Amino acid sequence: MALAFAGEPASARISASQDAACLQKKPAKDLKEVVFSVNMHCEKCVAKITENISFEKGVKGLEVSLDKHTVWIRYDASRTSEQKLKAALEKLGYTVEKV
Amino acid sequence: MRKISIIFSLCVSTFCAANAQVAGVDGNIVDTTGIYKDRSDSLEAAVFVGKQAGNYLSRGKQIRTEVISSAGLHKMACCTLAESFENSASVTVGYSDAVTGARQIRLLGLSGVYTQMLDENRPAMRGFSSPFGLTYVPGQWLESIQIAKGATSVINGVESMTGQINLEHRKPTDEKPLFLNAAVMSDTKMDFNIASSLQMGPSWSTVILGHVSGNVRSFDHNGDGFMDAPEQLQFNLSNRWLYFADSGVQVRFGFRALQDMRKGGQEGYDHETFSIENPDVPGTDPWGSDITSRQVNGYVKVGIPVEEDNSQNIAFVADYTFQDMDSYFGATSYLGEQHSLFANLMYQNDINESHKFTVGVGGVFDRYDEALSRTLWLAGPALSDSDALTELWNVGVFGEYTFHAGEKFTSIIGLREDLYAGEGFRFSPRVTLKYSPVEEIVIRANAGRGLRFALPLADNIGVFSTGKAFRGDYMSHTLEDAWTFGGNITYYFPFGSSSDTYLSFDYFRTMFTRQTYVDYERGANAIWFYDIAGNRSYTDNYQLDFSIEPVERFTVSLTCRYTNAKVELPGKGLVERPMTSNFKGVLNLQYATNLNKWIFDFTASLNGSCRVYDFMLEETDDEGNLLYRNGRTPVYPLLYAQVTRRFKGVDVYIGGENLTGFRQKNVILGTKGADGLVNPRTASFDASAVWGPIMGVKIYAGVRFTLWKKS
Repeated sequence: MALAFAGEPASARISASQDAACLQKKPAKDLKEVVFSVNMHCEKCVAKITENISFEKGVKGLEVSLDKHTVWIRYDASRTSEQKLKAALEKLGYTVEKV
Repeated sequence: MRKISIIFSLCVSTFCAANAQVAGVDGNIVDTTGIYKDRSDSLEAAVFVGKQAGNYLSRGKQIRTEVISSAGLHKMACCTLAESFENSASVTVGYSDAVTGARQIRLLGLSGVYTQMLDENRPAMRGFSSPFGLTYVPGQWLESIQIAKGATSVINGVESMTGQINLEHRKPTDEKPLFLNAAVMSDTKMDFNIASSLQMGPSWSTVILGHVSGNVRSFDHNGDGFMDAPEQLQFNLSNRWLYFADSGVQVRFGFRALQDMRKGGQEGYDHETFSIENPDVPGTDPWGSDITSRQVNGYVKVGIPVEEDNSQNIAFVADYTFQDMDSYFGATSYLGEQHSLFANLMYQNDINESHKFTVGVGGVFDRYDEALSRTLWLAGPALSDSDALTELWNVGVFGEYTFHAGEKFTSIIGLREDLYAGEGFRFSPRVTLKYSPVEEIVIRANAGRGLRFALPLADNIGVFSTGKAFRGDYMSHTLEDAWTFGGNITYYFPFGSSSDTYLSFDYFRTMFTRQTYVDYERGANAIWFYDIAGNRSYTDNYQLDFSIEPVERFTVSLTCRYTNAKVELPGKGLVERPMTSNFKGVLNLQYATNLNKWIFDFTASLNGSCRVYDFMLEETDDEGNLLYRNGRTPVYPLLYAQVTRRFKGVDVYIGGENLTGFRQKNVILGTKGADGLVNPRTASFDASAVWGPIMGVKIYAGVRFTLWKKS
């Protein structure tokens, strides 16, 4: 628990334990990939999926293929899951199945 | 299953919307009123998030077409259509004068009146709406813009001489029930837009578009006594509907209403009390312009498949516009009313994969009621009045035959025979060729005739911002006649992060056989309007485009245009067309972070010089140095930058225009009074000789909110 005291310089407010924590390397993100088959039909569908899924929590990469009717997503598994991403696509009005 | 079919029908109809296409029950799409149908490039590759193609050359179109996509429209403030072209070297945007805020485009080195403006393939911005039309289309209403160069399709008439600019609006089938936009500029201009696309079952959908813009105050930064930009207020409302029946029948209809008010010139101008005689106390009776425009437009488009597979279909398009313009400039009034009707009925038959034809009848009817009262100070007050009621129309038959030899070769031959009011019959042939010997190379060529009735005063609204006398045929409507031919070769390189690395070269020539020329140089303090009547008038345009995405999400595009515009004038011979910039170079850089959460745009342009009017040769700056030493304007740079931060459903952007702060010196020309300012009551007064920016640096910020439809 860090304690801050009035009048103390900001740099001094970091406790020794925090300092050590900061020096530790951030754990590598648990990046996973998933491909969904989605019943999209046109450029408008591509735009809708892109504009919405890009901003879902944990999404790190996205590729929407209109000819293959697939959505490829790279995501941080510590922040989201296949189920949540599938639900996000379904919420947009599409039928979604994992490939 | 029903839900799927609803989504499918909406998607198909949206995809078709661009060209009022008719979709059959199997989703087969047939273009009945488009410029030319594009190949479905979008189906050929995956869409990688991060690609933000703004302006690009369409690979599939038969005619050389530059597309300004939704991403391109978001690169700049794009409050109005005029600002949407800042990234383009093909289209140059300038001011008609330093008073009214009217913007004019130039395509292939010629005035925008020779470019046919289309609103989803219906002719738009004609007649009295042409001077201000670019500010009547809010940029945020648009989905994309297509700029087609040269002699395009004959289906919508042959008024296009240098090309067509087609505007695609937000669609009824967009799954965006609410879009809001607000932007503010450092010159106090504010812009508010709303759009709502609503689907009511599988058959009916609508989009409502609203816009309000205006400025709180105006400034005179250059101290010439004239406001840099007019005080302005605009209201604009549109409602568009789509009915899509199970049988494949599509009906599109809609209306639009707008009111635009703008007051420019010296602050405090009142057209009711203004007198041409100098006031006893300078500055007590300001000169200015006061323009109020009202417009109502309604249209209907119907597409009916004749065959179940939609290989044959019939389409009907009708469009009506009423425009009322009350404009006052000092002691001059120009009041106009316009009724315009456009109608087209056509039949299309896709015989097989190689042969297709369209035939139809159509025409345009325009009724112009013009009342001009112009009082000038010559030897004393001189009043001239001209009233005219003019009916201009053309009606004709047309046919267009398309031949495809696989993916390699396409030819389109268009023929049109029209009867023009008071002019008799005119035959307008047009031909377009596209050849792609290998996948990396596309070669295009086209040629054809263009015809349009001139509307000299409205086409050249800047003439009112002068003290000069009008001479010649300024109330007559010459049937202008031109031939345009040219071509384009594009090579697609195998390197870069995308498949869209290309180098493209264009050449186009437009030659007039009849043209209304507005001559500022024929006599002192006079503007002459006359038909060139066989004298030479032509422009040659050369353009180079290069685009590459060197690394993922970083795009670079470079465009250079050179224009050689000449006209043969009485007593002067063949001279360079004045006030026409001879080159323009545009460099656009864009970088987007992963998933487009940050987008950085930078645009730099270098604008070439133009020959100035004879009466500008003696113009000097405040130190007495000649402003136009070689009879030419200086070359000047313009810089634009924008940063966009994107969140789910919300974009926030901040940017700057004309960051170098370059401004044209001495925009207001004429004899100066005792106060050191130009006296607008003198015959030498001229505020229409504009070749560069009037305003300096402008900073803007805005926000866009999009609500997406959920399941």
